[in-house]
Parts: sequence; structure tokens; C-alpha cells
Amino acid sequence: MDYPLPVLLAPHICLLLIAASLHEAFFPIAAASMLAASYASPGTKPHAIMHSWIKKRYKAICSRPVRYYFARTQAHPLLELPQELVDMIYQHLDVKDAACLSLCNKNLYWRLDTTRHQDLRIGTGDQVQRKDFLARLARDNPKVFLCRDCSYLHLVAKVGPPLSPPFGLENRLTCNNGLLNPRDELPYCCFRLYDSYSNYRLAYNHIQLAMARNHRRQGHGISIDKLSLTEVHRAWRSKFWVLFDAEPEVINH
Amino acid sequence: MASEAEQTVKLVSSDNVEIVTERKVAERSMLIKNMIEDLGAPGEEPIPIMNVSEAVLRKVLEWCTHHKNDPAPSQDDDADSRKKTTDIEDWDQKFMQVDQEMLFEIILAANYMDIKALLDVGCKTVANMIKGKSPEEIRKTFNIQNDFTPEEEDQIRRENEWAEDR
Repeated sequence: MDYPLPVLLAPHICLLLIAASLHEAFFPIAAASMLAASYASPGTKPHAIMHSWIKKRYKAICSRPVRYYFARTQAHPLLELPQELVDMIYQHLDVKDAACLSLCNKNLYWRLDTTRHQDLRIGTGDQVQRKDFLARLARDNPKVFLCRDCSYLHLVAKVGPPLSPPFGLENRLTCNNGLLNPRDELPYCCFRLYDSYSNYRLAYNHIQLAMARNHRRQGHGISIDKLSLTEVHRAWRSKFWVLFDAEPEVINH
Repeated sequence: MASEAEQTVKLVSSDNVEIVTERKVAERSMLIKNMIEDLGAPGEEPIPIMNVSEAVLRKVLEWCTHHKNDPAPSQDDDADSRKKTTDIEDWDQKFMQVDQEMLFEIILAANYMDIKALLDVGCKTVANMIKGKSPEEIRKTFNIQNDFTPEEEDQIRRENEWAEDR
């Protein structure tokens, strides 16, 4: 052999790289031992031995059932179903359930027909299904809640204290293009006490979030304590001072 | 020669177990029905069911036995309106009360053996497991890992106009 060593080794290194990419960690080790053995047996071209060995290994890998590879990833059988079966299951679901399934992970999101999400659009879609669907998303994510008035998910952090503007204007959730919807405020929460007008405004969202905290785990909604308020102010045209104290609590029957 | 109703066929599962069953029961599977027609001599030659293990094949044959006298599906059954409903017969519901691994094996077997009604029951059962659940609850049911980042989830919510940052 008159070839310099690097030239001689080059094809074997290439084959080793192919071997490494083909299978597991033991594979290149086994390939290296085969290579060493080929040098030990004069008269046989080493790369020919390697080539036939890789071909054998490749055939062995190809002959294994495909499920072997899935089993190794420990993916759920649902994710391994053929596309037509996933589609069949998907067809049995209505829009809100289908959208929830598609949001489980990327595999399902890309495999499922997400154009069905169009049916949940504001205005054009099915608004009952939209609200049900968004309520489910809010169950998963404690940072957001479903505003039943405008049918969007809002950030819980944007719901301010139960105070009327200007006291509660900052950080106050507004719907419908920035206008506070009068329906959000419960009419019986406007107090006229002794010619005095309280700034306390309990909105529907406050009760919704306080109940969410009460019914679900910690982290959802807001604490009922945040809805408490003590106000002292002078009555109009009077020498009297008025104390207003709100201490809401959830009564469980 | 035995009449068609009394004829039996031999099925061989993927783990090489031979199961003898009535021809009428086995012919709920279009795959077996076509094979019998092609082979011409039912009962003599075993029919290999390559992708189905013994346990699953016995379960599938149990369903076929119960439904052996069902009428053949009509064209109307394939209409889209049927796909939306997820009503399952009581017997089928009990039949499908198996662990998830077996449930998906039955679905795959029904698909391979071309038993449309069983495939339909299997898909409806999975659909019923999904109904009414949030994405996180579905993940817990099927032990699926969420590989979306919070940013990606946020982007999807925005693209679909589900959420507003206010």
C-alpha cells in the first residue's frame, strides 16, 4: 500500500460517520472494531467489509417494525395514530372541543385542521361555542379570564379595585373600545347614604374573579380581600362625616 | 360441505396464535371477507392477521360476535351528520371500557381489518374522552406533553382574536 495514511483512512472515517448517524452509541464502537478487524485480515479491502456490514445493519433496522421507534419516544398512542384516524376523531368533535384538542401540543396543532378555528371568531363565528371555549382556556391559565360582555380573554392584572373614576380609573378594565359598559356595574352597588355618594363600584368582573378564586385553586382570580374598602367622607351640605365600610364575603350554602 | 352459516375460519394473530371463529363473525371485517373470497376455501387455510396481537384480535372478535347480525351499513350512515354525534350503544360503551392502550389498539385493528362500525365506535369513544375538557385537561387524560412555549400560546391566542392585552 503506497497511499499515505490520511488518504487511506478518509473513506473509513466517512463510513464511521454514516454508522454513527444510523444508530445508537454502540454502533460506531462496533464499526471501529470491524475496521480494526479488516486491517488484521490482509487481502480483503477494509471498506468493502465495512460497506457490507453497514448494509446488513441497515437492512436489520429497516426490517424492524416501525412501532419500535415510537415506543422508544414513549409518545401516547393518540399521537401515533395515522392521520386519517386522527381526522376521524376530529370530525366527531364540535368546534370548541376540536380547538381544545388542537392546542394540546405542536404535533396535534400541525396535524389537525385549524381552519376550523375560524368558526370561533368574534362576530362571524358561533358565539356560544366561543365563550365556552374561552372559558376553558381561562381554566388553564390563571393570568387571564373570560369577559362575558365582550367575549375576549382579558388579563386579570388589568382589573383594578372596585372604585369609580377617577379613584379607580388607573388599571381599570375597560371593554367596548375603552368605554366602560354600564352593564358591568351592578346597579345596587351605587350607594346614596345620608346625602353621600360612595365611590365603591363593584363590577361583574370583580365578583367573577373572586368566585374563581373561591372555586378553583390558589392563583386564579382575585382575593376577596381586594374588594374590601373603608371610606370616610363628609356628607354634602352637612356637618356629618360618613363612614362607608365594604367587607364582601362568599357565603357557601 | 358445511353451509355458509356453519363454516368456520382460522385466523392467525401477529404472535402466531390460531383462533377459530364463525365465518359470519369474521366477515364483519372486510379484510377477512375479501381474503376468504380470494382464497375460496374457508376453514382450510389459516388467514394471517399480521398487525393484530391475540389479545386485541379476541377483543375485536368479541365485538364482531355481538354485532354479527347487524345490517350492513347503508350509504346514509356515511353522511356528515352522523359524524357529529357521539352516541354509543350501551353494550359498545361497556365493551370500550378498557385501558387506553387497548382502546387505541382496537382502533388500529379495526382500521387494519376494515371494520367501519367498530372503528366508528372507537373514534367516538376517544371523542367522548375529549369532550368538555380544556387543553390542559386533555393533556392530563392522554398524558401528552405541552411543547408550546408561553409566547407561542400567546401568539395563537392573538392570531385567532381570542385574547386582548387589556
